Amino acid sequence: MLCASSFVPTFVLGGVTGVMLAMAPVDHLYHDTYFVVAHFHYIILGGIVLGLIGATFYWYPKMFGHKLNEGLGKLTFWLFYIGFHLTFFVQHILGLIGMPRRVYTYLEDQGMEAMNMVSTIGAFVMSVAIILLVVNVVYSAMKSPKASSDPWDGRTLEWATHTPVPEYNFAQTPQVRSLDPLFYEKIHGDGTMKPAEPVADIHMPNGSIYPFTISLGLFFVGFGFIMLNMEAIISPWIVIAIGGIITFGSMALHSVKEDHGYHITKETVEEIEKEVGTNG
Amino acid sequence: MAETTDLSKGLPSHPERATLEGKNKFLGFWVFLAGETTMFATFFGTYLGLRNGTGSGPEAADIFSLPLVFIMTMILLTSSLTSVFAMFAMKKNQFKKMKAWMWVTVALGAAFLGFEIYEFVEYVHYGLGFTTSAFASSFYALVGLHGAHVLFGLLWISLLLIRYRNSGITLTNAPKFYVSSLYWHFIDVVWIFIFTVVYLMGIGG
Amino acid sequence: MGENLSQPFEKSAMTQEEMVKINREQRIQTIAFAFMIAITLLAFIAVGADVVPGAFATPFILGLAGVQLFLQLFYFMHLKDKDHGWPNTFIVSGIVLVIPTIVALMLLIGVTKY
Repeated sequence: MLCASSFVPTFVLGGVTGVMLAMAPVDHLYHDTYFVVAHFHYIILGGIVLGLIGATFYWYPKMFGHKLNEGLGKLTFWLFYIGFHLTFFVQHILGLIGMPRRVYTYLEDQGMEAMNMVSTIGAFVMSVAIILLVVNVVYSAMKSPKASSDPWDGRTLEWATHTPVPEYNFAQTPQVRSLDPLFYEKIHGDGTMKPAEPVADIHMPNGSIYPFTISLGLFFVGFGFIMLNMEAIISPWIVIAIGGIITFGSMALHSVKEDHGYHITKETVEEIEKEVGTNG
Repeated sequence: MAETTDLSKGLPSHPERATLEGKNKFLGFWVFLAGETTMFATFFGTYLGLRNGTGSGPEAADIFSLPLVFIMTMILLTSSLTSVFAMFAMKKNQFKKMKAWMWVTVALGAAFLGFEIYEFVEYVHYGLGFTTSAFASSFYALVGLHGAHVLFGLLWISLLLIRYRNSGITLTNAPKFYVSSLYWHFIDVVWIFIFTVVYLMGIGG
Repeated sequence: MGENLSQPFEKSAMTQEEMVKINREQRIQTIAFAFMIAITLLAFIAVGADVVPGAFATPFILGLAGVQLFLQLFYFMHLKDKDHGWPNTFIVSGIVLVIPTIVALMLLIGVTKY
C-alpha cells in the first residue's frame, strides 16, 4: 500500500522531468548531465523497484505460505523511500549546476561536494533498506505463522485458490461475474467462486528445459563477444560458436520433438482437492 | 483444445489454428515478427543515416548492379509464392504437394543466398570491406542480417521437412509449417524494402 | 487427445463449397503475385532506365514498396482473412506510433529542412 501510493508522486516527478527532457531545445542544456540520471532513476525506482517491493510483500503469502513481518516491512519502505529521494533529488540540482553524467569524479570547489555527499548517504540508506528486506525474509521464514489462502481479504482470482497452489491452479474453471470476481462473490455470493465446469481430467503442459538452454547459449554468445577485446586462453569465436550451437540446437530440438503434455486424472484431482481443502 | 473441433470428418480447413497450441503459436509468431520489424527498422535507420559516409571507399552507385539485384528479387518473390501454394496444399490435406512446394521454396531460397554470397565476394574484391567506410559497415550489417535470416529460414524449413518427411499433415506439424511460411513471407517483405531503399535509392535516388 | 495430434488424416474435412472458395483464393493469390512482379519491374525500370525524373524517383519507388508491402501482408500473409484481429491491431497501432516518430526524427536530423 505504502509502496503503491508513494509510486504516484515519484513517478510524476520522473514524468515531468521526462517532458522537460523531451523538448529538444531545452534538452540541449541538460543533455548528458546528472539531471538525466535523476530523471530516469525516478522512473526506474518509482515505477519499477517500488512496484517490485510492494508486489513481493503482497504475493509473498501466496508464494511461500506465510506473510512477511509487517513492522520490518514498513521500516524497509520508509528507509528506502527516504534514501531514494536523498540520493536522486539532489542530482536534479547537480545536473543543472553542470555535473556531467557517466563520470565518477568531479572537480573540487565547484559547490558539488555537499550534494554529492547527501547523495552518497542516501545510497547507503537505500542499501540498508534492501538488507532489511533480506533479513525480513529469513526472520519471517522462522517466526511467521502459516497464512490462510486469502490473508488480505483480496479481490481477485488468485486469492480464491488454495495455498500452496496445486499445480493445476483451479480444479474447475471458476465462473467470473465481475472485474473483481472474488470481491463480487464476497458481496453478492457466499465468498467462494462457483465452478463453471464439472470436475474432469486436466491437461497439463510438460516442463521444458529448452528456454533455459536457449538463454544459456545466448549468455555464451554475449560473453564471447565481450571476450573479443580480451587476452583470453581460448579464442572468443569458439565460445561464440558453442553458444550459438546450444541456442539454435535447443530451438531445433524443440521444433523436432513433439510434446503434447500429460493429463491429471479426475481421481487424482479429487484426491488433491480433498487434501488441500482440509488444511488450507 | 482439440475438443472444439470435430476431427472425425478429416483435416479441418484451418489445421494451423485448430488447436489452442496452434492458435497461440500463430499469435506469438506475429508478436515475434513485430520484434523483428523493430530490429530491421533500426538497421534501416542506421543505413539511411550512414549511407553517404563513404570516405575514400567505393560509393553505392559505383558497385551495385541492377540485373543481379533484379534476379535476386525475382527469386525471392517467387519463393514467397511457392510457400503460399504449399500452405494451400496443406489446407487441402495434400501432403505430397505441400512437401514439393516447400522444397521448391527451399531451393529458391538457397539460390538467393548463393547470389548474395557471390555479390558480397564481388564487393570485397572491388575494395568494399566491412570496415572500409561507414556506408560499407551499415550496408553489410543490414543486408548481411537479412542473409542470416534467409539462412536460418532455410535450415528451419529443411529441418521441418526432414523431420516430417512421411508423417502426413497433423494438427501438430501444421502450425509449424504455417509459421515457417509466415517467416518466409516476412523475409520477403524485408527484402522488398532492401531492394528499394538500399539498391534502387543507392543507384537512382 | 494427445494421440490424435500426431495422426495424419485420410481426407480433408472441407466441404465442396470451401474447396471452391480456396481454389478461387489461390487464383487471387497468383494474380496478387503477378501484380507484385509488375510493381517490381516498374520500380527497376524507373531507376534503371531513368524514366522517372530524379527528385521524384525516391518517393515513387518507396510508394511502390508500400503497395508491395500491403500485398504481401494482406494476401500472402492472410491478414485480410478473419481471425487476424490481434495482428492487425498491433500493426495499425504500430503504424500510428511510427509515422510521427519518423517525421519528428527526419526534422531533427535534418533530412528535411524548412
